[in-house]
Amino acid sequence: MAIEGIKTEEISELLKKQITDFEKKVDVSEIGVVTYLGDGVARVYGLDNCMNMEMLEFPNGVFGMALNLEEDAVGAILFGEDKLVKEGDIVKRTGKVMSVPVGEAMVGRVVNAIGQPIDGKGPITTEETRLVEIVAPGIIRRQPVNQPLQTGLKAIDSMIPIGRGQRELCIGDRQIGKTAILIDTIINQKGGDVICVYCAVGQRRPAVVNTVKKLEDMGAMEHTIVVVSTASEPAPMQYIAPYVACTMGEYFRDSGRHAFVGYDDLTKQAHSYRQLSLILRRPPAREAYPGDVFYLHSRLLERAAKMSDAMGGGSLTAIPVIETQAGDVSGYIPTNVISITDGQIYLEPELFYAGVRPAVNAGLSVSRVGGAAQIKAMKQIAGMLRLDLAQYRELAAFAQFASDLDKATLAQIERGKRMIELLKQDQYVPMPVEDQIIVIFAGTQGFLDDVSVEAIKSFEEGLLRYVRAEKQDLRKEIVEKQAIDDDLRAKISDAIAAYKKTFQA
Amino acid sequence: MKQRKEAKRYAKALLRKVGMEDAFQALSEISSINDLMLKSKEFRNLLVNPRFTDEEKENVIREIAVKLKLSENIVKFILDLSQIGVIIFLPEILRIATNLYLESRQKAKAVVMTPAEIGKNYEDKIKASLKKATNRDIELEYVIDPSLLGGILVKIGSIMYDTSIRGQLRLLKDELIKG
Repeated sequence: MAIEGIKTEEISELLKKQITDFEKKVDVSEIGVVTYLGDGVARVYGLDNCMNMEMLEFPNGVFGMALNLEEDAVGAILFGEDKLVKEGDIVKRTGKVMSVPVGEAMVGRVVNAIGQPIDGKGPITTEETRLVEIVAPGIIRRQPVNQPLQTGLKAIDSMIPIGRGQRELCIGDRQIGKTAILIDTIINQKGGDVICVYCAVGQRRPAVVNTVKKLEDMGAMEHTIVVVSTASEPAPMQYIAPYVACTMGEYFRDSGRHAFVGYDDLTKQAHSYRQLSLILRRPPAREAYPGDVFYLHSRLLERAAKMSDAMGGGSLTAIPVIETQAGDVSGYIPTNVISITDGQIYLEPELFYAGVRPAVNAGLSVSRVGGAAQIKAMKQIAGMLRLDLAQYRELAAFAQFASDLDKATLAQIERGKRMIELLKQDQYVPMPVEDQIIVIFAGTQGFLDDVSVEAIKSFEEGLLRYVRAEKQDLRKEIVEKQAIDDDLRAKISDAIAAYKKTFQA
Repeated sequence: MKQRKEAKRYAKALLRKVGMEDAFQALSEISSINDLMLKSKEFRNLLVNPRFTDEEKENVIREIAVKLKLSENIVKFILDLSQIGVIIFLPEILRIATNLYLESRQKAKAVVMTPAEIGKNYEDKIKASLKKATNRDIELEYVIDPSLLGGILVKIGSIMYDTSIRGQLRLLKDELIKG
């Protein structure tokens, strides 16, 4: 620190100025008294004119937010240590509805659920704050989804494409790579025009540290904001974190840019909201969740939008994560979020343990609007891929009983095996869309039919190495044309055939 | 929650029964009963415990009523509350009834906190300026709190006027931290 650079006179001069400017005035404030306190929730008697979602000032620098407005008391949640507040303490209104700092300065930082930095890189200087709870943009301010958000995952970009402004649910049991999909998507935005917000709710602290470390190592923190509310933090922080992450993403959406936000995960957020609601004595409904748990998620996810050109054409894409118990998607929270989102990526443990990673179940996963956003070239080859896989699924179960199969059926099964092998992808290695197209093209056009299943991976790697080294212009052409015409089709086929001659498994 | 609702119901009933004109008298009588309940455990027990018969309760209260010069209405009110077992909410009922009474009279109660005792001549000044601020007649209640250091702090309902040195120092601290 450059302490030598500052003179003590300057400091005292500065302090003097501050103090002389300080005018004595009557501090008029509306107050209430804490009558109940427990588990991050306080009941405050008084505060006659308190607004809903207003920030309240408790003693010792603790802030809270009014959630229940009753006849002569207010139910508030605390964003801080509840041990610092005690019964009988005086609570002041701030007159401000809950808002958080937003802006460019947030990018690259790790913040807690109320926007304070927790990465030890010093304070964040932002000029703007935004309301945490706002109504989602209306119909006139939107336009249909028309641009792709590349996740860099072959299985998703080809079959379950996600558009900018879409809400795509990522659902599956614990430990089968839900977070990995979010992280890969964030890494894939490196060097692009999408700002990412990763919101970790109710996760273990070491898990979050690992994720942030990984993002830093991959150079992905430069375009990413991480909003963290770990399992050790009080329920109010976990409840509010997704809204805060959304607010930070909205800043970019409304300034005509593209943002992506991943909520990891909303099951935990619903749990913490249930806890709050029960302590606030709201009536419990199904599974003891309060009656507005659907609205809790719908109002959050509705804020993901593709804005109209008049509004700057920005977008906010949301990928919420839901954790299921033993593959049960018919639970309360999973069905709610499935019905809110524009499709889901369903991850299956059986596939995961069979070595198919990402463990995307292509049959149950859908994307209701993303197809419109896919680039044409991908759409052309993905149709074939989907067909191949559907036929394989149908025959694979049947083939287990029959030993003698006719040639056509056998060919279809063999093709399907290779396609599944082709869609496997390692973690943290997202693939550019032009590479995906070349690889999948090779599969659907039957170039892999005489390559053994075990050798698919090395073939794929070798092919991409070869194309990068020798056919750089081919990749460029795919990106520029965005569609595969006869000329391009021939060129790609030639390249694959040329490589195949040199390939030895 | 439920307690408060019930207490409010009884407070309203009380005011309706005695009428606004006699409410002040009635409230002071009830507050003397309330004080008595706080002071004497036996008396409180008599009213709260259901094992005492109504007759016993009535006899005792009648006797006390003579000493405290309680009116007939209040005696009945206390007996009724005791019979239905809501007498334990009496402080709450008293508080709500007082608020309702003050509200109807365009009056308000102010808690004045000072670090040291203040002179009589200040009282009128405070009352006058508070009347200006709130448009109400003000009843003052004094609390001495040396931790204020200096100045005066007034609470009316849920509004607090803070001119104390402690408050000023806190504001100054905030200002300096903000820079």
